[in-house]
Amino acid sequence: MTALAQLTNSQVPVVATIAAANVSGQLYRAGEIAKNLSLAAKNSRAMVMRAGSRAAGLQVISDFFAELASKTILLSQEINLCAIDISNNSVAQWRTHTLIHHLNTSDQKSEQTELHELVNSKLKLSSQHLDKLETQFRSSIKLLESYLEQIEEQIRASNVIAVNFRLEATQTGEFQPMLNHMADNIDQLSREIKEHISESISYMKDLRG
Amino acid sequence: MLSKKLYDEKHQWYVFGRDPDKPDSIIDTNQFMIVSGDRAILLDPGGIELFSAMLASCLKHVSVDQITDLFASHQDPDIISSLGMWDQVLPKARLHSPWLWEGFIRHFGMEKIEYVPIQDNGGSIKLGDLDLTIIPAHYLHSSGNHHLYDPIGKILFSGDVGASLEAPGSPLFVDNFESHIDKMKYFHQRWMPSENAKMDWINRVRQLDIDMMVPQHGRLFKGNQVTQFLDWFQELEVGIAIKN
Ligand SMILES: [Fe+2]
Ligand SMILES: [Fe+2]
Repeated sequence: MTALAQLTNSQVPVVATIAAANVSGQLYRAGEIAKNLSLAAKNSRAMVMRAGSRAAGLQVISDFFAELASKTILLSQEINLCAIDISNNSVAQWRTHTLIHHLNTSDQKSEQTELHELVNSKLKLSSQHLDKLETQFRSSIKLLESYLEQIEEQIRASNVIAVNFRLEATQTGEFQPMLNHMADNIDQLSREIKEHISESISYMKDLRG
Repeated sequence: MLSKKLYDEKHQWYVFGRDPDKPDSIIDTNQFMIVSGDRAILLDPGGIELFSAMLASCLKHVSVDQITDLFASHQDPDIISSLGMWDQVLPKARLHSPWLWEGFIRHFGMEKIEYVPIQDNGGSIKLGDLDLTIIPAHYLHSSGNHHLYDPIGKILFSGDVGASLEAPGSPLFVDNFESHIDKMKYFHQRWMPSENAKMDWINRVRQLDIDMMVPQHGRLFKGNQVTQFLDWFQELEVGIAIKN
């Protein structure tokens, strides 16, 4: 049984709302760091140019980091939109659950057939609405998951590339200390992005019903 | 929802607003968050329609457990109709709001959050190392109403006072005070009912050292524009509906 399934129905959207807001918050932070990464990649490219032919192998690598940064920025914006959809959807589910709860209560309190019929028809509509919301919700979650996977994959590749960067930097003579320093910086930024992505992924369990 | 850091020293101020996804029929609002150490307070957290955007905006900067306090300047729906949702998300939080409105505000749904009634003469809110001063602003426009002053950041959150009604997507700060008057005039004349209340507030606020005055609607005032606003407001005739 998932954590979600153990909760009563009306608590589900509450948990999901918080989780979606958390995912969007983490991705916002990752996107902000990616802006710095983009800058670091540009700086390293300039340095590589100055180092000339000795650093020819490095050019590809700094281009990789520039691309990683711009992809992260783009994906984090996509993810943010997706998370907002999920957030809005879960609030809508939440409100519908609350309505259903109130309708049920008023139905129990009333002996009038007229009100009973009214409540019943509203209940039917509300639960249809809820079904629709849940379907949309599941497809948004799938989309979000695939975005997160894409971003995770890129970050994984960056670990390998950073090692190569250092290796190549040893060939560049007097540029080596500065290039190493840049590699540290790029490393650090990718690591921070990675942490925010893992954090986002950890909230996904609250979103999967 | 736009999110911008207004002040960043030992503590931080954020503004959230200009939400592009907001339905057009709903008045645009500014929500504020002050972060001090591991705690955060939301000022006039907003209407129910904005709740999910607002929660996501806050969590860009703090975790949900950090939000320990809410401040509602008065009872209006654009201020605090989201309370029923916050109540589920922040079960341990405290809501600071005028004592006058407790029985009314609870209609928005509040089971878990603690209501901390603010007395008519104001008081203070402690947020970590930061002491925020509650400035009474009764009858401007609500009969039980307070503003919040940060003496370190020199920022006054002025609720509906200083509000302007503008087209969506307008800039965050007042650029030219004179041309801004048109956007504030009717709001202050029609929503603000009392000359005495207006002067009582102006006299209080003139004693404060203010770098920024941030209302709940429209653009924010900086530096000399605050005095310009006070001078303008002092001369303005309010409560105009009754004279028609
Ligand atoms: Fe108001
Ligand atoms: Fe307002």
